[in-house]
Amino acid sequence: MRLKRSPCVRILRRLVILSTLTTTLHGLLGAQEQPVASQDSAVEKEILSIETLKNDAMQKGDTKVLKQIYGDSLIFVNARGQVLTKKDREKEFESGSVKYVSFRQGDYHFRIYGNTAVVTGIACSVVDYHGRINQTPRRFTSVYVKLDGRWRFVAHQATLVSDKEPRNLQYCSN
Amino acid sequence: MSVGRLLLVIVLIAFACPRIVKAQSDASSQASIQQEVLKVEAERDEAMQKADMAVLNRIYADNVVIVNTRGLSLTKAQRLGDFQSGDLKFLSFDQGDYSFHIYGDNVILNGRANSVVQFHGKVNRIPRKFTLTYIKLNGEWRLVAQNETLIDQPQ
Repeated sequence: MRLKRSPCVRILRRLVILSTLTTTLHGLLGAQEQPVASQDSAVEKEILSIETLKNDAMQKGDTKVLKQIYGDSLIFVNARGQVLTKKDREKEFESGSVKYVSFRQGDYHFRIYGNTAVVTGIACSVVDYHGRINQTPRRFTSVYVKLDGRWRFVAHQATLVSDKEPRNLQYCSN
Repeated sequence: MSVGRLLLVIVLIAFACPRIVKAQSDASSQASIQQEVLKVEAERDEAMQKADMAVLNRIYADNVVIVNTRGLSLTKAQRLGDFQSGDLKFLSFDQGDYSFHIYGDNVILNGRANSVVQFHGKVNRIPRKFTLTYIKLNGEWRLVAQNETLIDQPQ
């Protein structure tokens, strides 16, 4: 016996088709490999302003601001290769186990793909991390994703710069 | 059951049903994305060991940014050049311990590599943590960012 589909199911079915079409269209139009330059530039500015807020909050240990910027599923790989969650990172600031002796970060490069922004840069800050001072420059990759209309910091990895190529250390020596 | 209770049940089902359906659909979609990216990652691993430029060229996005364990930022051309010239060779290959974070067409993949690598004549045996960012571009998963960090490296 074939059951007659209820209007609710029909509406749901139409919604699924509509959302599939929207997703496909978004895939075709939204995440192009060569995005529009003017849009990119606006996104870069937005991300830079969030980076500035984040940098300021890190120096002050302002976890309220950091909570707003960090994505709930943030994955943070520090320069020691340790993997930290949003909670781990917030606790470090709250407890004072991460403290900035000096702060300098820049040489930013952006790659924007629709709702994803990949930011690379170099950090020359001097950090007191769990009682150990780190003065070695670090190159980092941060990923921001626009979630519910807001750019959130969802991934970060830092790597100590051991390569002595001048271009690598130029930013920190200036 | 009274008519009031029956109506309440109907309202609750109508309210919860779309959410349950959506949650199931999201979970299934996430699992399917994870499988797709794992497949691409397996292809890349094999291509890196064989220095298969055609496959690597297809997987690396044109604007990929690679931060290697020495903290050097490399472009696609530089990375492919390293494989082509033999400056980057895998003496053994061991990679895994993957964790995924999926945001629509963006996948953040973390893992650990224990491979022994020869890079410009220097052999690296130290295990590394890595973060890869895959994005679906024109229907294909492409690697747009890679960052590697030695685990417990001396400072």
